[in-house]
Amino acid sequence: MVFLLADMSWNVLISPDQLSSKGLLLRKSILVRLLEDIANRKASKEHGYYIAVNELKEISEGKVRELTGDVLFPVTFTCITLKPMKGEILVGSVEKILKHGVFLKSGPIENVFLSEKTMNDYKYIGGENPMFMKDHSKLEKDTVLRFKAMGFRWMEADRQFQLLATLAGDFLGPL
Amino acid sequence: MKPTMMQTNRPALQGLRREPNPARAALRRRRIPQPQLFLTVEMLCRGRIRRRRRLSGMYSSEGGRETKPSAWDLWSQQFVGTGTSTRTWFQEKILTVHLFGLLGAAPTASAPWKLDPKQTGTPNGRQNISANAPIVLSDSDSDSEGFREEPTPTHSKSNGKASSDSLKTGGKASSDSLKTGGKASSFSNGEAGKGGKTFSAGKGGKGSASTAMPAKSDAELKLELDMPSNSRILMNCEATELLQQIHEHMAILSEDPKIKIPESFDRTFQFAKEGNHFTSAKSVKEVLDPLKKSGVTDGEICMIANIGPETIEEVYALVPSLKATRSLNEDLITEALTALANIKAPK
Repeated sequence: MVFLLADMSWNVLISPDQLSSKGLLLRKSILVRLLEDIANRKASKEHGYYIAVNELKEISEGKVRELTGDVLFPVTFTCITLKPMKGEILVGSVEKILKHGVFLKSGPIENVFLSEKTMNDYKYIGGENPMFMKDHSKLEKDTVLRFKAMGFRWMEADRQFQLLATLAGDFLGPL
Repeated sequence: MKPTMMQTNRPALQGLRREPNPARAALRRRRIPQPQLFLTVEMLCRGRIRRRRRLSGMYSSEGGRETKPSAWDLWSQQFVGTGTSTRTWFQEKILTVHLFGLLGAAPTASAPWKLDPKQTGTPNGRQNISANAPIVLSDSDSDSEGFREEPTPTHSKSNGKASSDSLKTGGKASSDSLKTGGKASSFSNGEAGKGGKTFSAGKGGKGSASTAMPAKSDAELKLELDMPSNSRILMNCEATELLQQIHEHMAILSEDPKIKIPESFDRTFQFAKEGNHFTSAKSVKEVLDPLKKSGVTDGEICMIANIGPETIEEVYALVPSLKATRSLNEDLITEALTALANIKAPK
């Protein structure tokens, strides 16, 4: 996953009860509202996972919405985001082992699937403590390994990414 | 045996026919025109048996009748099966919908209108994805709609129906699964030339798919940076430093209950710290900047910094796009690697 420093703009809606006469309080409420909105949004397809708001660039003039009385402030800011890229080399830890593959966890992404077919020469060994084994190396729960991201998918419903991994290639596998 | 209309047309049948009963004979004499609207089940079955025998060459004296199968027949046999001709298949289909609906009998396995999934193919002749062995991974909660595979639901759909829609469903299923492949556009590889490439997703109730990925292409998969506009790429080291500062501010900020920090902050901070191999981001940048002059892209530089490779072979194996300009950048990268080794943080 690649970190991005993205310039973003967002419209922050402030309700009338927060519009006090003191200018500073207004600025604070805009910031609080912005942070809340970003935290709720979690991630987007374009930018990836929102990690943290870095810098506030500008708060433009507010527009009053006629029917509700809220004020809309267009805000520009920079945000640190994390987005998976196809063909990337990533490091993750094993979460769950199944007969046909392994689920990995890497950073904020919890759904990384590594298929058994891409794990050349690793054999599934079931039982109480399932694992994949090849010669001397074992893939068990919490094993840290390096994999390549084959592709990813954005799931609108859950607002998160799903990643497909592969171990086919040199220098990939448990570290 | 009284010679009837039908019998005189088929002299070879004389030995095979049983004694017709008068009611049936009367029916025949009435000369019902085609298509036969008034059919008994028995007549239907007989007709089918006769047709099957004829087509399988039992009545060899009628050699002239059995003409060479046309191109249409050959094509349609993949849907119909080799037992019958297409004309009879269509006729029987129409009849079964009505008759079997009335009688309540399920279509039998030998019924020619039933699509045999092994023989079913898309009109383009592309490999039917549902023929692959489905793998069911039934554990997690999220659904799996976007992954290119959707074999099991469509597979069972085409098997169950015994109507004229079954052909459409068979064709539709493959186009649906191809469409969902189009939707999950990030999965459609640039190397689209490799046919039959499927992913296994298997999450949630729907999930069942099989993988058939050629391992060779996986290793060669190049980095595809899909960056939004107005954004700058950050190396893990740079990001770690920024996140560290924010983390320090957070201690003060979190006292205010109204301020919300994104959920993934903590996990990502951990991830960045673990992924950071170097002591100072600035020095990493200084080391890797010269590489830009020899055509190494930002993304590739970022990858090198994130992976923290030890040998030059590792770099070329993990970032295959650099192999193209190997002659140009090999020396520079080797230099950079030695410089990076100096500033690597002890683990």
